[in-house]
Amino acid sequence: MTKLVALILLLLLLNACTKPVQKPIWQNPQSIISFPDVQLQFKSTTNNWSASLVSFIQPIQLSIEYTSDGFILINDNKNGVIEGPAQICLTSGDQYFYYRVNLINKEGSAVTHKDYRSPKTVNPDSSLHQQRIVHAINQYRNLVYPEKKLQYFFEEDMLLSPKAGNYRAISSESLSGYYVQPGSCVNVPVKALYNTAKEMLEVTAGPLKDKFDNQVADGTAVAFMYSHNQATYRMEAALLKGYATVFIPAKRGSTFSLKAKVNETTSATIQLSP
Amino acid sequence: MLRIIFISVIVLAAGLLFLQGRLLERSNDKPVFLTTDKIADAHHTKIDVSVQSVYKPDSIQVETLKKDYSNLWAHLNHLFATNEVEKGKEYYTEPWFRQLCSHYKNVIELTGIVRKDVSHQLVIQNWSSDGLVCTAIDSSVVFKYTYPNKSSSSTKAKIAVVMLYQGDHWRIDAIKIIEELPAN
Repeated sequence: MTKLVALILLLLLLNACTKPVQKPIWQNPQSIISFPDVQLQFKSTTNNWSASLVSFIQPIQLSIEYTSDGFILINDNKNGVIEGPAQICLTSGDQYFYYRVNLINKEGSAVTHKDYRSPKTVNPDSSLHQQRIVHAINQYRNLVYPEKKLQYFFEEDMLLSPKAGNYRAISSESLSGYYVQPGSCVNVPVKALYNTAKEMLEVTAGPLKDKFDNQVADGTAVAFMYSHNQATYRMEAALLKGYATVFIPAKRGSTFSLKAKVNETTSATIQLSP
Repeated sequence: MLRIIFISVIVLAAGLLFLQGRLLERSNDKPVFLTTDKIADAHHTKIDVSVQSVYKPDSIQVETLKKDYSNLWAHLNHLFATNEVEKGKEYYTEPWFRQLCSHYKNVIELTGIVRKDVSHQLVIQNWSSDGLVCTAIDSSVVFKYTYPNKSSSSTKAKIAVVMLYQGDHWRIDAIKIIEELPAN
């Protein structure tokens, strides 16, 4: 029993005599580390290290190559990082050592200009104003200064061209698309032709255009209202490429009074006598 | 003989169906609305929001932003300590998440540093009229770092951040740590 206690005490004593791990000496210290070319030399007599580069956002594991008098930390990952303050963390057992650095990407990475538009759909009947928020991001999600502007963010109010169509704020990005709709029509021209064989009046409204000369949107409902023999009738047709057509049964010699209406815009009343 | 063939066919068909069932990929991910975000729930910070944008968000939008920004920092701090990229993916845009994953090998538990965001002064610079884009400068973030030897240090940082409203959350899309200095 006495021997066992003595043995335990001896083991405890030996454990207490273990030398604490010395802080490795950084032999090529640098305040700025250019990622991904990381090669950091440390002098140390211990050889059971693990290392990581703790960036502002996430820790990045580093590889270790041991040399005769220490070790070299190497980065295997060739992708860039989110730049900013960072710390090199060396761990051996329960010992931690930190070295403060600043992390940048070595080479200028591809910069993407972001151009957010709001609203995405504009109608000239209401407003052609559009909000534009601009900033630039490199491929590793670091905000960078847009060209010639010493601020990260820029905003302006834009007055869009009234020409209807699909546009892109950034030509290569379909997600930056926006749409200028055609407005309401300002004039409803109507004409009619009589088909003798079918005894039908072919009545066409169009071309329907808005105040900026845009063709009114396909699918817009056009109502044709006509009177014949003291009765009133109504027919509707959808607009296609600026025109809407209806066919009205009509005997030769009869008379019609007709007008077309698109929302609040009404044509002149025309008299038809097949 | 016919009985044996018949039973063999049934056994073969059953075996095939069983194997097909095993090959089907099953996701263990629950929908977001059924999950509890323990990291975000355990996180507390102070966020003051001021608005300098041309288009102003309403009070409800500001509250939503504050809540999501707090949750985002809960996950950024967790990521900083562990490199566990998946935990906060609800608060990252896809390109941001891809960038994080490009530096992911495994969860790291050896950095020993714990970061806590004590307070924020979030100044909204731009707010899109459709409420989907927000750019901001976090002009005075106070961080507290705690090291394994129980020592701690505080810093004050200035950070530019871009957030996009996608799905149910504001998500971080880009960042710039303008400066981080020791706090008095």
